Amino acid sequence: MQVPDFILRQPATLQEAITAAQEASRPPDGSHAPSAPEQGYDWLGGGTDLLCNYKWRINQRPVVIALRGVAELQSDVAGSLAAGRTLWQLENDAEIQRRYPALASTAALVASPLIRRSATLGGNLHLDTRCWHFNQTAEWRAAHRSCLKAEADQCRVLPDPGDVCVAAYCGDLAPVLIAYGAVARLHGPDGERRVPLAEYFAGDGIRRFAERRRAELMVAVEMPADAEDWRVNYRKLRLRQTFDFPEGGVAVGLQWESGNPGVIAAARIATTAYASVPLLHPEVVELLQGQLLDQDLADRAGALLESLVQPMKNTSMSPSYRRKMARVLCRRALLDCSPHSSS
Amino acid sequence: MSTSRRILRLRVNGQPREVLARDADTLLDVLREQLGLTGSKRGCDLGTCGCCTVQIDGEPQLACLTLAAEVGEREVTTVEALRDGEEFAPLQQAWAAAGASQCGFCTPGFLMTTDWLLREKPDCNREQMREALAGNLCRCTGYVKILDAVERCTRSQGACPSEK
Ligand SMILES: Cc1cc2nc3c(=O)[nH]c(=O)nc-3n(C[C@H](O)[C@H](O)[C@H](O)COP(=O)(O)OP(=O)(O)OC[C@H]3O[C@@H](n4cnc5c(N)ncnc54)[C@H](O)[C@@H]3O)c2cc1C
Ligand code: FES
Ligand code: FES
Repeated sequence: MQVPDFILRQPATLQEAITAAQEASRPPDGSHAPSAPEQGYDWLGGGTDLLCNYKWRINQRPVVIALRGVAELQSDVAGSLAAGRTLWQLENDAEIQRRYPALASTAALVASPLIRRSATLGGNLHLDTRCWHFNQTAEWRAAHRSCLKAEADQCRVLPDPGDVCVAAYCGDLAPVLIAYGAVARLHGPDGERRVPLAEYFAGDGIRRFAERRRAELMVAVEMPADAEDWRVNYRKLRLRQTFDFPEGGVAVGLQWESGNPGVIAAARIATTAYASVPLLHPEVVELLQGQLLDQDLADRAGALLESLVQPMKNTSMSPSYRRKMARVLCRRALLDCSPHSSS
Repeated sequence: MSTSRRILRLRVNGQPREVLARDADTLLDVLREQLGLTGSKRGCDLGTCGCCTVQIDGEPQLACLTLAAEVGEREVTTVEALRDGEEFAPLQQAWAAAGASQCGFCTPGFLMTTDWLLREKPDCNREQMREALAGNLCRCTGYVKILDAVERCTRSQGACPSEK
């Protein structure tokens, strides 16, 4: 499969990258009107998501801007992780293993070791949403007249109303970073802005970000100063223990009452693969807060989570199984946080 | 749109190689179609099999998801460089002796990942082998003979490629 033609830009600095994106999103007449899809650009991290989609002729753009050479995306500054770091680096970095163990162990659950050599943190957080009807060849999509996120005018999974995309967000790192309270650092033509990851994602399978600004990219993920005080755990449901995307993923972050380990002072619960964006579950947080973490509480939290998630019929496993597993994943993730657990 | 191309100056198997490639060509396209190095296989072309594994600066990487234009001055090593003159490398001999190849399509990828693994962890145990090889799929062997072949090359078995 040939990757369809594009022009590759290889900026060396953040400013050059932003300028390349501005040039690519400007229509040929030089005006500043928003660009149509046949114009425009995509950022390229490791390419392990984007190039697969391009090979299947999905939403390709004429310009691709490679971030590999952008110095500002390659090295961490104090308290933050550069967006260009590979998942392989994250899982093998002794400092990350010590300070954010759930981040290192989750990075090691993504895809396969070979994919993780190229896959980047920024690419993982911006991973495109996935669906049976979307991740298919152009010929398959043409034969099935799907899907809304590619070239058709109606969603095949949820034909009524049909104008909402229900493709699933299947990134593994987002829920874990949300459980740590991480903040996205973005850079664009108007300078820098910081957005908590918990507020970064919103919308459906097509419009996936709360606010997307033109020529803006993610430079780093900031870890809050208290991140190390949180006990974070992630459980992933998948068919095989390698390669496969999550069919469901639950991240749990807990802080103990001071002097009372096991009594939950604060909690964060985030899921992946159950909707078009990573979801937060304040209802479960409310149930947990102020309680002693034990088997009964973990069971009740799992049951509540099961009642909240609404997976669609658009991945390999059935929605009912994925929903049931939300209960199991949540319970296990919680119990693994317990002060008596070895993990 | 018109095709954007450029001249790439690559280093492949210790040799400087110059090719004219599209910006969108992958390293696998260039190795197989332009340089005639067909040892690296095109299995899935989507990152899901590992048949295209090569080494870039000594680290295993998927050639099907690497843009050729992004390789730059880094050294590319393909399975063709494993053999020592007319002789198969100890790793390749171990593969044959253990019966770790059936159709053979996955073999180049496994060899390139294993070659790196044995350099990194010459004393690796079977769990570490499984972990390291979890990005390479084999549809024929059931993996046991592949692990046997790798084991034959660990330092304790005396045939470690890094000591050849
Ligand atoms: C076989 C297979 C299995 C996989 N399994 C998993 C899995 O289990 N879990 C999982 O999470 N993922 C999985 N993936 C998807 C992918 O490999 C990872 O999510 C990876 O981390 C993506 O990173 P990348 O750098 O390769 O992204 P790219 O492909 O380079 O980019 C992905 C998207 O992010 C955008 N982007 C990249 N960097 C930035 C930035 N700095 N700022 C703004 N936008 C940016 C790109 O424009 C693009 O839209 C799998 C992929 C394959 C092929
Ligand atoms: S051909 Fe590259 S991973 Fe399958
Ligand atoms: S020997 Fe046939 S795929 Fe491995």
